[in-house]
Amino acid sequence: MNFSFDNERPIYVQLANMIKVSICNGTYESGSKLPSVRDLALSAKVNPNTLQKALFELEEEGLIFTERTNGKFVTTDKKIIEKTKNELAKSISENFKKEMNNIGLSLEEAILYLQNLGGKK
Amino acid sequence: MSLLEIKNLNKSYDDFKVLKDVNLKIEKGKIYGLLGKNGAGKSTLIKIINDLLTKDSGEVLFLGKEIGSFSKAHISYLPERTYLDKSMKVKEIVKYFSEFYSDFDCEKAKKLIKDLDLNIDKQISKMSKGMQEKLQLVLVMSREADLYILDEPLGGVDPATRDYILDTILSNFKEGSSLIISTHLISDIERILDEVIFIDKGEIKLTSGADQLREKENSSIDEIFRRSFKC
Amino acid sequence: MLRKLVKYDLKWIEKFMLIFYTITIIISILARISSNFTDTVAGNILYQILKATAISAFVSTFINALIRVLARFSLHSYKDESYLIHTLPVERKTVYNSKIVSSIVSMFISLVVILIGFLIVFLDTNMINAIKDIVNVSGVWIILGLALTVILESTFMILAGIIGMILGHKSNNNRMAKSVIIAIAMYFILQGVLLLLVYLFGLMDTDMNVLFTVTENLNVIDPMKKLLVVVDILYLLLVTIMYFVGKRQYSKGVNVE
Repeated sequence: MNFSFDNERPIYVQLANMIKVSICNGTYESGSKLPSVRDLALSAKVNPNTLQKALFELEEEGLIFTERTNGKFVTTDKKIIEKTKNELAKSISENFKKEMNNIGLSLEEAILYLQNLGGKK
Repeated sequence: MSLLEIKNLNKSYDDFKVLKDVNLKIEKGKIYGLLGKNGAGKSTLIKIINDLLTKDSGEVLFLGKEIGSFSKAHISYLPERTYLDKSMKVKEIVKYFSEFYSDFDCEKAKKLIKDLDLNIDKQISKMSKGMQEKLQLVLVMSREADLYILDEPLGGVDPATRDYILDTILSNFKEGSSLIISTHLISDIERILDEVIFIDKGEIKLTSGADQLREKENSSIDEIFRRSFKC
Repeated sequence: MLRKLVKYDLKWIEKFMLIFYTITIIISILARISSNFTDTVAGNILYQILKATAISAFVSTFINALIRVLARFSLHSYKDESYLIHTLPVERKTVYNSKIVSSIVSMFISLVVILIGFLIVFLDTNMINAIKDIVNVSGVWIILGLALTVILESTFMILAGIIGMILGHKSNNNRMAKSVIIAIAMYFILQGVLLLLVYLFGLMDTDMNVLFTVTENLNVIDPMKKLLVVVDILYLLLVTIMYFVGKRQYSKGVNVE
């Protein structure tokens, strides 16, 4: 996880996003057990309470579930993970479009830049 | 029952009112930021909680009891100044703490001393001020206390050490215990706070959850503070 | 906890006093040795100088012991180290008690060292005979009574210093100055009152009257015994009251710097 935080937005929201990213890219595999709250908080260098709140949000969204005696696990439901990836991708794209527009480039021009990076057309 | 409860606390020095009718509740298991400018009354409030100053009126209750030897056994306090007997060596002060505090973890202290590159055989008077401050932090964080009160733990310290201090604080406080960090350097610590308390001119101006406040005002705690207390 | 506090207090006080004890004993021994050479002019001068030095070492040891114990109280109650002491998990009265105990013990040790030094320099057959005479007449009690008086006087000085500091530090400015003034005033006033009471007692009691009215050297020893008893009882009362006053005021709370 990338651990730099922006003090202007709620920390728990940023933490939740970071974990979502890790789930989407497979760092935390579907169905796998998450590190304990304490360990995760230590490695992210955050307040464990804030981490708890972030995990609670993720649980509400169905991305993780708690098995009372065993800890927290990533969902096995691949559809939810796809949906999350989709939402993240949309948000990143919209940010990209906004920033390109900001420097005076249209969406079509922006797409050309993407194509020049390589990958499927 | 709140861990610490302050009711209608007042304190004056001659004619000057340093604390005006302060009311606060500190709950278990949270990290509080006591934030205010220099001279706002943070240190005075903390000293009264730690029985270093007498209050004029009001109550300070720790788990329902008046401040005394009971509260002191469960509160670990890091003051702004060096309070150690400088003629002692590091290992002697570690022994001292373990003799007086039943919740002092000797092994943890020794490990932290090693991690921070402090020489356990060195006399405290021969250490630099920065090292003395680190030693004090080690001693305070090696106690398994219910409440840690840190008065300006990041003052006068370089950014790398600041990060290390924050890490040491986060990784070493007892699970379920609470922390009060008093500081005027808000942007450095705000990301680890659960709750914020704004104090200005001896009065509590605001108490709120940190993330709640960020969501509400759409900015950092530091920015909100500056806006609230423009000179 | 009290024992631990006293242990650390004594360590700090005696670490410093050791220098004075060493110097006192060495100079006393040197003075005694030089007393054997008083038949020569140079030898006599040397003896006189060493004798005077020894006496000033005795005085210096006493004064420094007093200052050192009061400094410990001040450092631990109001200065930087007080931030540690007042946050230890002990009652404030226990801190007070540890200072009282360690102060009295330290003064006692200093007095013993001074006595030893004094005997090293001055003990001779004349003195031994004089002491034997006194002991024969009125027993060893008079010696003990005198010793007790000296200890009580030292305790009285300590308490005057400590209470002076406690009261002086209740205000917000000029705390040290006020402490010194209160302590000195307390010492002289109470000392004066005590001596006055002894004098009045002496006038009323026919036995003791002897000491104050008759100029010839009659049997002074017995009236002296009675006088000592009166003095010691009054001193004991005084230091006891002072101890409790100090404890009460200190337990009410401190304002550190």
